[in-house]
Amino acid sequence: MDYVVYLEPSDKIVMARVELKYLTADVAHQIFAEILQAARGTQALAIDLATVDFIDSTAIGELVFLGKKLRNGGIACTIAGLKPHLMGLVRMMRLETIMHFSEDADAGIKGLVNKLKIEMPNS
Amino acid sequence: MNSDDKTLMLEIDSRLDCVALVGISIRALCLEYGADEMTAYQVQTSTVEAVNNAIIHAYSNQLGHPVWIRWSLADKRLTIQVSDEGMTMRQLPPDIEPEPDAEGGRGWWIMRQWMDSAEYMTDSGRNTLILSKSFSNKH
Repeated sequence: MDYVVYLEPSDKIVMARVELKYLTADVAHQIFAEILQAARGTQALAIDLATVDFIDSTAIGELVFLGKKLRNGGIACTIAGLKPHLMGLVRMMRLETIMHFSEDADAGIKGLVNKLKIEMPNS
Repeated sequence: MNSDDKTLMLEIDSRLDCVALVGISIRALCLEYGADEMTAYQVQTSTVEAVNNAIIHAYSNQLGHPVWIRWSLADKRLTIQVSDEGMTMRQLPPDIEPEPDAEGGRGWWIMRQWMDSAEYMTDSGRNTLILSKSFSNKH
């Protein structure tokens, strides 16, 4: 499955835009490892999953693993743009109790900026 | 078999990059034969989890082994059988909700939540997971 991860780094926030429809066991580990690597040394990470139509449980496990790594590294994170049916899966798994989810990338970035009291990227 | 009954057999190689195609096909079939969007999504997800399990656990992620998926619909009752010839599960995972911070163990729980039943059996070296769901069920 082809995918693209667009990374928009700044010294404070990394924006990772994942472009693919099926976030599944064959690609999830590689994608989240790439994102984790890009987030090292920053304060916050926003992951935009707006193009994703489908997530399997292996990808959810990888997302949970990423979340733990970020928490341990003191990096704030938000997952942005999940479609309603995928948010239903997130709620069923109670992932909202351990990770932050935003309606879209803009809301996610704003939330991180407010939380960390830092400047908006590119401002 | 009633003339209105529908059956489709799919066979893929034990490669994780083939699994999304199975999910897409199963979802399309469900929608074509009367499932609503949410039901089709739940069946798609459950099927993907079953096929992932066959590849990751039964075949230990090794390529070159067959996974069979049989989709059938009779009287609005959908049955999906996912079969492999890999290692047999000696014990089914417990039917408990995974903790939110668990990194694994969600596949069977999803299948049990979203399908009416999920049964596993082995016969002559072939393992089969049978998922069933009524299209008339409220989700």
